[in-house]
Amino acid sequence: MLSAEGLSLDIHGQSILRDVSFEVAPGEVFGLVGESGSGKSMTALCAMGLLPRGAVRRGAVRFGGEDLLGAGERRMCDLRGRQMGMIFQEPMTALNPVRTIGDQVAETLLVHGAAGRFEARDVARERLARVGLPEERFGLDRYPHELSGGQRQRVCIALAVALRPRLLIADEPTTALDVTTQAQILDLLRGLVDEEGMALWLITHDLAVVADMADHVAVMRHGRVVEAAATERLFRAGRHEYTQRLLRDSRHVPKRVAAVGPAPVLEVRGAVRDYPAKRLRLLGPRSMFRAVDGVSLDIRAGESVGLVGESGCGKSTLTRAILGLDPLQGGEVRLDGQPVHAGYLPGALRARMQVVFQDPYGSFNPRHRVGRLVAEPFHLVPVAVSGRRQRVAGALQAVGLEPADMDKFIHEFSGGQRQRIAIARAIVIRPKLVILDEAVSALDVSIRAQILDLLADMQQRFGLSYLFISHDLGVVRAITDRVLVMQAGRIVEQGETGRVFEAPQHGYTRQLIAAAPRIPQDWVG
Amino acid sequence: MRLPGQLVFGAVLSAVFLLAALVSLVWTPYGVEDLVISNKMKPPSGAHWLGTDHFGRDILSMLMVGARTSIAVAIVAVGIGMALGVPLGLAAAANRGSLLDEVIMRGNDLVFAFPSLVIAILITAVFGPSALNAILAIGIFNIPVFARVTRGGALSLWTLDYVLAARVAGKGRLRISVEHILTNIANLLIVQGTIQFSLGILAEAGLSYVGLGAQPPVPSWGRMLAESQTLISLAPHVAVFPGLAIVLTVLGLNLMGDGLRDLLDPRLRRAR
Repeated sequence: MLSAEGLSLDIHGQSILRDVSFEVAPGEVFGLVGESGSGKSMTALCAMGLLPRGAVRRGAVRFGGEDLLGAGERRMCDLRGRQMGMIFQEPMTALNPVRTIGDQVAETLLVHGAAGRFEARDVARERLARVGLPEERFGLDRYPHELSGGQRQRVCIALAVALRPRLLIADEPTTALDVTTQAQILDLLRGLVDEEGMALWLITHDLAVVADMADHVAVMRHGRVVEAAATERLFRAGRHEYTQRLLRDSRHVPKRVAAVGPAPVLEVRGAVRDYPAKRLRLLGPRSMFRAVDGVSLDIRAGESVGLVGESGCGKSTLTRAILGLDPLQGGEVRLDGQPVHAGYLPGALRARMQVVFQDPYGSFNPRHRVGRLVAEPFHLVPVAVSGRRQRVAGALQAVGLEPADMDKFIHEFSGGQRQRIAIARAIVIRPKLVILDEAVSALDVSIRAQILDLLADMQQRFGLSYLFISHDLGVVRAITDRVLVMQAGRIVEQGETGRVFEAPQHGYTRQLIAAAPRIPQDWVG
Repeated sequence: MRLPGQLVFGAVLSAVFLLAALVSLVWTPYGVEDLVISNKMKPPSGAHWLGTDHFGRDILSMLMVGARTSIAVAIVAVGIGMALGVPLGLAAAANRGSLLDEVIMRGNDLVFAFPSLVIAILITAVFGPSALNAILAIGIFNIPVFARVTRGGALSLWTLDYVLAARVAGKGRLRISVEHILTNIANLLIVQGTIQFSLGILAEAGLSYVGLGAQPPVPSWGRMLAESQTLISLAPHVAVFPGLAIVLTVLGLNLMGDGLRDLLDPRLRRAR
């Protein structure tokens, strides 16, 4: 139905896509996988005719026999929405915040003159119900901010399929969502394909999602399709070296030698953290929201402990309390036996724990050079200024960078390199505990594999303890000794990582594990 | 590194006026107090490049000295606004939601609630018209502008991971405000500074126009405009040149501000 032949794209003379060919058949799910910057999204935008200025396309894209590259803007406008729908990664920004969801879905119909005002509302009602937002619970007069991320993505899907297009392009539709929400959205997409005979073009970096969903798959790298095949065949017998490497990296388990000491480094006892919630009435009493509810945990020297749970479960709040950034309303945190209080914390104590954040782009002051960024924690320990440069150089070398990188600015580094710098900053003062808050979630699989290896290596060399916070169960399984499962502010299950993943006791843990997409074991040997 | 055209153009425009102001300290083509009535309202000529006004004074000389007045008033007024407004804004952002934040921001609202020119007129009316009082009046109204811009920019930075990382490194609010926040809102402040600078020049011209700024015989662009408005059909150049001076200075400052922002931001620098 949709086919690309020898599609190439240059933007301002820079080659983005080269000789891309693929085909999407009616009623099938076509998966396009690749790492960031491989040209996946550009291929979709190319087909939709939504390219930036200065773009030059060559080759052919045909949709139902019609050449899309030669089609005028007017014709493309007619096709978009009516014949081809598209949804994006970020449901938070894909909807207009000042218009109701009913209006936004109805608008698609009105724009295409497919229905009158009242009829359009009826269709909007029906389509929203189809994507799991029935009117009794989610009125058409709701605004996007009243909905959760998963619900918003449903609205985006309703928008895209309002006119029952023949093709739906989904660009990383679940990357911003929790694992259980992801499973629901993927179910919904699969249902739409089966029931409405729609073709789905699924663009993702996640091989497990593709394994779960797609009928056939193309792997992209540096603007080229390196390999394309039926899904099972690709996973079982992918020939291309890059395909094999992606598969290997996505299941990478770093080598670790367990060297867990007996003494606890971190003890959390009955931690409670309340937030004032919104006032329900003007001048009414403020209700409190309990984000962390009686959490206790221990981390021993040299141990890796995973903390998993969905967004909003209190993981980050707990982290901030452990780091002594926010006060607790109950319970206590002890580091090396000494109490951690929010507010004043002696430098010598604070120096024993450091943190690495998720976002390799927001973790650094863009105006400082790397040397100064990595040296920031020296604030806590008495180190002579002369010795600092040397220790920063040592830390950079330990994470696989050059001492000369000290004089560069952070924007000169890639995401993976930045995460290495973040790790260098965390270890430069030799802390005992490093909290890794979704530290590898934003990275491509190959980079992620390298960073996991690096973390395992650092742990062994410096005897670090890790608190590894993530929503990615695969990663947690790969690098932790013990795992804690958090739901709605409470730890619902904890135990040895292998035990928890293989024989989960709590219903929520089972739900989480079941929801995570997986590459079938026998496909990959 | 290639400099953006607008920065060069804006800087050149601003520099011309700054230079004129500086040169006027030691030399002007004619004395600004030399009245030669017989020579009044002469159009531009070889002897008087920009002509003469209704008292026969040389307009070029008056504009040069007027530039000095305008720039001095605007610099000091922006200085007052920044010196008080930025620390207030930083303090409010660092203590978001606290009583201090409320007091600072509601105080700002209070100042904002009054029309600035009217209050400036009030101040100069009470304390007497002079350049000094004009400076104070304009400066006071710059404080809340800078406080708000600072707080707004700072609040979004306080949520970023690198600020959190600095807190984990044990740095206090004051230190983070100076080291991480201020450096990253510097471009906002520069742009706002140039806008306020040009607004200051406009405000000074406005106050002088109604007779509350620099007093005669000190030349001022605003008063030159005011005095020439009845003559505009007889000798348009008497009004046009001070007007042009104001427009070009303001334009130059704004272009320079935009250009500087692009230049100072390492991320934008790379994008070019």
